[in-house]
Amino acid sequence: MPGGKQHKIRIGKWETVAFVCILFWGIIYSLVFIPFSAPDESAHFATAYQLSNQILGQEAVNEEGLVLVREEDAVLLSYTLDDESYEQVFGRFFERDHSEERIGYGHRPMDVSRHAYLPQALGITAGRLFGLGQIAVIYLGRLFNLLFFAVCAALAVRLAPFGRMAFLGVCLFPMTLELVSSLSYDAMAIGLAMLFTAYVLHLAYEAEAVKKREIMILGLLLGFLAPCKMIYIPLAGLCFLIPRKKFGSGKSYGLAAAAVAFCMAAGVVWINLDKILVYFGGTEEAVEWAGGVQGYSISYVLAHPLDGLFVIVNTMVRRFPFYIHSMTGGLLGWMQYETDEVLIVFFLFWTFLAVQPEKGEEEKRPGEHAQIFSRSMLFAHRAVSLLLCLFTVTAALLVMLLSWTPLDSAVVEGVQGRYFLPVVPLALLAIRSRRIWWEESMCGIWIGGYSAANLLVILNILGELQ
Amino acid sequence: MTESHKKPLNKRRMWNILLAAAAILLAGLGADLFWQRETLGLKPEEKGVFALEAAETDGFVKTEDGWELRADTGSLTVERNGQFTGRLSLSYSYAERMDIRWFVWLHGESKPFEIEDHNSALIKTTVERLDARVDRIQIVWDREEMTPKDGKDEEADQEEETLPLVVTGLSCVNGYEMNWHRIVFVWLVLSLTAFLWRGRRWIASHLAEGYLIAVLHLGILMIVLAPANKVSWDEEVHFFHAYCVSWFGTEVKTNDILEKLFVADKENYPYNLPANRDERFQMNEELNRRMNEDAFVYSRGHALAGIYTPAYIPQAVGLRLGYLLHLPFTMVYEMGRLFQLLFCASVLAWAIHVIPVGKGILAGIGLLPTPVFLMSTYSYDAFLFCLFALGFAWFLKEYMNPEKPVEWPGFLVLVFSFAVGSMPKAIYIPLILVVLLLPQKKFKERRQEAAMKGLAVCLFLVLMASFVLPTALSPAETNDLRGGNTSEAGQIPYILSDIPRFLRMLILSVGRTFPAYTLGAEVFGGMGHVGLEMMRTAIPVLVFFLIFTDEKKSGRAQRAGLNAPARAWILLLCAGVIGMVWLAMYLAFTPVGYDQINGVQARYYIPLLLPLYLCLCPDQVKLRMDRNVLYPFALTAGAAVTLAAVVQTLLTRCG
Repeated sequence: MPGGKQHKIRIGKWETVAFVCILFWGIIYSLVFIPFSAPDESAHFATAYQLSNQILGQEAVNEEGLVLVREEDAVLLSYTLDDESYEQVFGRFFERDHSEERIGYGHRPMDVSRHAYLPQALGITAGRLFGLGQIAVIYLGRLFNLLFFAVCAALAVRLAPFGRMAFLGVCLFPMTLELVSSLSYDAMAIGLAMLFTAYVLHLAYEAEAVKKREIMILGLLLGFLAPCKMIYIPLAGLCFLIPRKKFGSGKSYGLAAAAVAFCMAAGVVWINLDKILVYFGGTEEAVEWAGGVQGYSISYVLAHPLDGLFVIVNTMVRRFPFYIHSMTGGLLGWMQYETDEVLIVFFLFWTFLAVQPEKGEEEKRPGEHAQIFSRSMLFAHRAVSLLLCLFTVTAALLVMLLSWTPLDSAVVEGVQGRYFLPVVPLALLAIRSRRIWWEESMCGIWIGGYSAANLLVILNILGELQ
Repeated sequence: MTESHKKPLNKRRMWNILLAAAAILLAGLGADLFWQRETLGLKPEEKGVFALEAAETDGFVKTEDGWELRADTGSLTVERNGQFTGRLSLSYSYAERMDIRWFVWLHGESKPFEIEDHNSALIKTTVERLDARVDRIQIVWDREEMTPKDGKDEEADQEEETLPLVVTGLSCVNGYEMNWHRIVFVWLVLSLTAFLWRGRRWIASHLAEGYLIAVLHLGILMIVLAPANKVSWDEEVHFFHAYCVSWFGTEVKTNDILEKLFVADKENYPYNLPANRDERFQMNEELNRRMNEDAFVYSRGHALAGIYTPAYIPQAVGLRLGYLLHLPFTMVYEMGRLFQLLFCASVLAWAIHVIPVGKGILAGIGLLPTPVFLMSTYSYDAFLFCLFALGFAWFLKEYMNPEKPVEWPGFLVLVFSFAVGSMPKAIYIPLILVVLLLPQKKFKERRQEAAMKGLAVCLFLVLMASFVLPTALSPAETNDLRGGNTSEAGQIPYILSDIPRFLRMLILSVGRTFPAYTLGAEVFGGMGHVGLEMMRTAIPVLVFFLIFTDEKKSGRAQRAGLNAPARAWILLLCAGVIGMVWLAMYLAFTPVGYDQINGVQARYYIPLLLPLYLCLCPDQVKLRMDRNVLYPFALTAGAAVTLAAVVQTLLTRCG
């Protein structure tokens, strides 16, 4: 069928474009935001290094719990971007390692699931095996992290039945690019969340039937995603968008749901059991950053549910602009490099435009399911998607309420907009207009706009350093 | 038959208009009464003027004249014990600007709120409007805060520190007094709202006229609410030039107070503006009195403003008319602003009428705070922006109609709009070279093409030479002292010694500021010294919306847009102008050897914005919107942003 051939070519173009763009801009961001200038990157380095030690069969930490690293890998790097830092980093880029012993690094590993650091650890391991110096090792870790994300994002773009720009656009936000080009495990969280979202939509709108293989993939994706950050568990609800009839029978549907839920729960409980126990332990923890004052606890929230609800709703209302701003990339680095407000407005405006459907998008899709591609999601699916996004936001706020917020605070502290990036594509698809559409395919123009804006973000940051 | 139907309809419409006008007039008066409702509801014994005694003083000594400040800091405390306090009036004798702080404890409140009070040297009674029941008021002085930090030598500063400061009276005024500023504000806002709502269908087909009406509303509002003082960027210099041009043909005579207004002196200091109606009246009275009483003893010769002269003609005409009508000085000052507004608004409306694409963009951005503010104050920026808009509009009209041959009258409007517009700032003249894009088939014969394009190139060369040659042949040893240790003669060798370093600095400076200076609150949300970068999110959202919704192609087939080479050429010209602006500020406003470029402001980009928007926005990205909705929306949104800015910056100073 001619339509089918054309269909394949188009999809191939999109995913290639996505992969190349993310890789290109990720590398640029990685060069501008030098090692350790991203939030908590030194701690991410320590954690990935620990996993690398384990991969190489070496002792991972010393008696004090500090990660053991090569002597030269323990050199402290500056957190700030200035001429001196750039000289330090790029002057040592091609140095080789001459360490004679391993010493304790200044950080303990983070209390995060180790699988979230696998790409970074593989990169670091490769660098160590080749005898590269500290900077090159860090950059290899970053590159592997970026490659993993770019593959996930390209697959998401490949699988998404519509609204591919919702996925690609979010990938090209400055905040996303900064995170995925660092050693942060957010790359895996965002990448897997996007891939999962796109895959579910693919199954719901495009696939003929859902078989064991598809259920296994869903389970694996959730089993890896949920332990990364438990706040993304609500995304699992997306599975309910897949029509029951695609499973064949009610029994198969039930078994599939149980299997997926089991995978997710097993992942979460296996990796994050200690955290869950702390949350449900009922002890009122002190908030260290606020000078050890009493913080919220599960028992307090259960005893005063209206207080907890007020703080969460109050936070959503008062911090909404900040979350949007910081999610897009308004505050980069350790939140000290402010991107121009105009660029943030541009990213939001451009993304809103880019996610709108192309005229006749449904006609370009062959097969018997063409009629349901009414340029956007079904109304019920939109409602469910928005609800799941709201649950995710609430979960993020609840976690930080219990772990980071002093009892006398009227808002939840410590939440940043970047936590919501994984659900942004879903939210964008859910609010996609039915009345606005594009007369022609404009992938190049959208990418061009994002690229120009990212170039200006880079100039904005570098210009401020003058 | 049709006529007979029209007559009663017209009569009814006339009645409707008259009723609406009456309603607006009454609403203005009603709004003022509502604003002052607390004073209207007072008991008879609470109304009137009450002299107050300080219950407690610190740093002051009671003398025959009043309380004299003898220490570096001082305070006066007045107990009101829950009494109604309308306007608190503090009279003093002090020869400088006076900065004080008020702490007011509202009735029943344990913590005070603070008012920072900056007073012009022209007034001798500061007034704070409280309109509330108050327990206590404390007024605090700190000589350190009052010492002008304007780069004078230490000796002069020490002299000022010892200036005697005597508080001569303190009183409370409770009573209603009509506030014409507020009433005019309500009238103009309601009348503009009624026009934008009732006239929305008419606006869809008469955008230029609609724009003119809207911008006159906003501009007149700004003129009425802004004091006769330096409020805009370098307004004192522009007023001086306009004043000189207004004496065209005769010797320019000035007096003491005028000489003070020609510089940013204590009488004209832009950050010590009147804070309310009472202080504004005092300032006006003092200016008018000194203008009448001070002898015109200074001569400025037969000075015009050199190459800048054309830009000051509208203001000068207004000033001249003011003298002829024997208006008080403050009104003469406002006449200059009014004529600037009339001229610039008319030219921009003409540009909107002429331009085949981007009408909504031009109308929308032409109503935003900075463009309207520049049109309503002494400045040559608005003159430049409006004439450039007209020139570019005429160019697009010619370019997008390739079938119609170009005629000399239209062509002269095109090139002289650019040439005259760039006389005050010749650095923008490269934009005249857009005429080179006109295709050969637009011209009747090759000679005509050569003559027309040759004229444009000649004007370009002459105006470029007017600022390039002096800099190249005899660079100044000292430039703008506000920038510090500036020197063209020193800076040029510094640039030439390491050109890549300068280019890196230039690219980073332009790139860093480009979004903010082309779309942000920096370029559209600034109102000189009264407001800076307002509405940081609303402005870019509105501008993006206008850019993506307006027509970018013309003609029946919607195909006659700017093609890629034309866009590239226009962008190159804009890039050249931007580069020269930054270079000029590096030469004239940045200390020698600095690693950053100082002094470039977002408003310098305004004349380039329309070409940039039209060239950078891809034709494909177009949200189709009905003109019946788009054009009224463009005017309404632009006017709403500017009104919000006016309320925030100027209306609060007229309460």
